[in-house]
Amino acid sequence: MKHLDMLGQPCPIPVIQARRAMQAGEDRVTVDVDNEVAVQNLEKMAQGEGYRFAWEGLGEGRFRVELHKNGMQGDQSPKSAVEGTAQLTEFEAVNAYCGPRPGMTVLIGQDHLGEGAEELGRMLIKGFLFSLTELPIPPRQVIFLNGGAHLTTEGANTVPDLRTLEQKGTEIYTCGTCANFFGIKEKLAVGTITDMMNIVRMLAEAADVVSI
Amino acid sequence: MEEVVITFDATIDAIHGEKLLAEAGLKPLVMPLPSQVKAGCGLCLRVRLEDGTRACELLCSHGVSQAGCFIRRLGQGGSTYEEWWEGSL
Repeated sequence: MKHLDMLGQPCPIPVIQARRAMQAGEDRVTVDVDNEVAVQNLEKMAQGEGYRFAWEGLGEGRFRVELHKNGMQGDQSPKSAVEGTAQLTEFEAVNAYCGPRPGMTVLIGQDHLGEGAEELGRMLIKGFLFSLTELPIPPRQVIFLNGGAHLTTEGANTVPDLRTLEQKGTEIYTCGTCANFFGIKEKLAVGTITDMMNIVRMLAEAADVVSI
Repeated sequence: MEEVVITFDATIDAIHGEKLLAEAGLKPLVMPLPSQVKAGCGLCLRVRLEDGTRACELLCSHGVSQAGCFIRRLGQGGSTYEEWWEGSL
């Protein structure tokens, strides 16, 4: 059995971590969360992936969710409520169980903001990224491509603010083709590498896209 | 979390200041001028609290003028800024 302390973690992090643990071979996972939405989304995940689900209140707004692979008390394991959901990618699973998270999708295609003075633009993009961390609803995704890929790699002083964003639940992606072109793929310091198919899918599914 | 925020009268000083502090290994971060802070141009530099004094001294010794220094505290309700001067650390 594995226990996950997800107190203070916003969705979809509890769902992602619990799903990873179950897929890694755990028969039973308990998850402590501190909001009802996380309980509901974990229940959707359990239904979708065919796990037994139970929860209890721990007081002070905290809840403990239990996920089981095998039936309890002689019950049969429920079948997946959503056909084929166990085969979903993590990105698809988050959308299926947590719904599209609020927040804009930001596409950054260069390492500076605006045109006219590139030196100034390099400072402005840093201020822009910091400002994203101060939003009451952080972006759903920030995607870096072309010269923007330099902002997510070792040595860039934008990395600490991007890590702050990531801690707030924002997904950070860097175009793998671009990082490869610049020879910085191995120096990725925050977020994950992705490809153009995934980038286009994220943009197509986004409620709001801001392109820099 | 606490850090020192340095504001500048001119944007060019913020740009020069970032290079200077980076070369000195102080790992400055950039942020826009927060609405709670009235002094300075639109860009600020942030350094670790323990690097605040050294950062200000370096800027002064290289003729990069500062508009002000503040301590940024990040709490549950967002960031707060308190005017800082060298003697308060």
